[in-house]
Amino acid sequence: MKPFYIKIFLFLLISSLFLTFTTQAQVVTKEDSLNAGLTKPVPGQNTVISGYGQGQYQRDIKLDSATANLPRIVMFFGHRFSRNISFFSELEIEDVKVSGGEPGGEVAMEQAFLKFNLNRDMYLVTGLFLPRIGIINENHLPTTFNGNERTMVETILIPSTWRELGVGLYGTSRRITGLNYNIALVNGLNSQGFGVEGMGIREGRWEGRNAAAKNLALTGALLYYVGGFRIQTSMYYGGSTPFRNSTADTLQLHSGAFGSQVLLNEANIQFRSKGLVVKALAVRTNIKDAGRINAAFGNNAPQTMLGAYLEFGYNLLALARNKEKFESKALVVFSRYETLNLNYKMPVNGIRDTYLNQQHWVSGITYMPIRGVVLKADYRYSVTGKNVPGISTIPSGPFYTNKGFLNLGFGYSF
Amino acid sequence: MQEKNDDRRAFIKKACVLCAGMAGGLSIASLLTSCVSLPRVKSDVKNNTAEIPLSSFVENKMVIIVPKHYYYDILVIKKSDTEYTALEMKCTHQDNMLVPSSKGLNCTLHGSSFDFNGKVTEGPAIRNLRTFPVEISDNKISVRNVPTDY
Repeated sequence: MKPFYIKIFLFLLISSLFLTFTTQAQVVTKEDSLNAGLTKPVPGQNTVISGYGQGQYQRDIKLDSATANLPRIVMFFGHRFSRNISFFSELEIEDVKVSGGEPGGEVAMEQAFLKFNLNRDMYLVTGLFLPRIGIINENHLPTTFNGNERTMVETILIPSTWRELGVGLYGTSRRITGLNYNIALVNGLNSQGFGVEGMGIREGRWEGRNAAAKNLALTGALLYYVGGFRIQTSMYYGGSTPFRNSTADTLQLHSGAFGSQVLLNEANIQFRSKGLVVKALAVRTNIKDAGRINAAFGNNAPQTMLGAYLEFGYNLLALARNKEKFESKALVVFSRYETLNLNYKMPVNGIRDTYLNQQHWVSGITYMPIRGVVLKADYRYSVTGKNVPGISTIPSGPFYTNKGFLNLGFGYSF
Repeated sequence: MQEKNDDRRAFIKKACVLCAGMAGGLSIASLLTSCVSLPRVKSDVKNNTAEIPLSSFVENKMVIIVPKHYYYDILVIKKSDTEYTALEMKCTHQDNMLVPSSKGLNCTLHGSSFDFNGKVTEGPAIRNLRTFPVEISDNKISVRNVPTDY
């Protein structure tokens, strides 16, 4: 027996020595030392890790079907290099799992940019970022909007989260308190994806992946805080022909930086007071050369798309006598009406898809037990035009022009 | 006949959009002209203390201190002759500089809002704003514990 114990002892001794040695050997670079917490952080520098995500159960009442999913889990990593230079990034996993050769799921960088503070009132960003268009595109955390689903208008007409590569300047006015502005130059769109699956310009985004940058886009926004109001207007003006001139000529498309341009105009207003939150947004998108694009790709691109929504929400806990007790909680009842017509105006060679003329009513409850966590329940009633066989992209199963969806879910951000 | 109706509808629609746009533009213009910018006072930070003259508050209830050795501005709010609150204008969500309005402080990056006590009124921020101790002496407002390392 004794040799056995000696063997065990020797094994443990050698293992511990090996582990000690390897541990010491691992801490050889600054990065490893920092990870091991063995060096002091550099003054003025720090790294931030945070994230957000949401889970959702959806029942289609008419089709008697249901799905459960975690639509997005996002990890945020940021690092401050100095007083004036920082890095921000968001890594998103959609639908939890991505499997080769199977549809669904996505792993993508939602943002990855450097931020340079020019002075206290101005900063510059460069990299993959979200232009200030609409409400949801910049402020898309599930704890900041009512309903399990993002608004349809800001999913399709404003294809949130809409990120492109480029340079953006953001600033705050000193003369007019509450007034902010920004302007950005980003890569343009790809008209080949317009109208695909009835999603407007959504499939024309590059989202930072090997983006063709021959065509460009300018975006800009004015944002003004006054009283309980947050008022914003923004525009996007960009070329949609990403090809070289000879290819564009063959396709009979206008080329150049702003060739076959897309013009998007948007305005939104939010009002908050004593538990009441009102949000309204309207957007119009115009694709100037939709006819030429259809002739080139046969994708039934629309010429004009329109959309708007109006939402009322009220935090019932604002009625509580002991308000301080509930200051980090909320119980919001809300109702939203959305209207969108993705085929408002079609070019002569386009086919109007009446299914893309839609109205959605969403009503429900958002409960926030603590800041950063929300539980949501809502019901969406959708009315669409009739489907056009061979043109409309509709969910599988029997087609109905009106449908109801029950949604239950949660969201978090930290 | 149908074409005429369509034209009329289009005209009415355009006219409505134009009227709404004009009304919106006018109301925004009136809001802009009625707003006032907050005074900004530069201050050295010595021994982690920023000082500004008490007279800065004669005509204003709020003054923004711009500390020389610190990136973030500090909003000082006069609550009474003897009570002042100093708030760090740094969003507790992702450290963005906040923008003041007549109702509180707002973050342009992700939409967080805070009231003039520094409390979160709108997420995604979770933590309240950092406040600094304020002292009044010799006709000066002294804001203590101001960092100088960033």
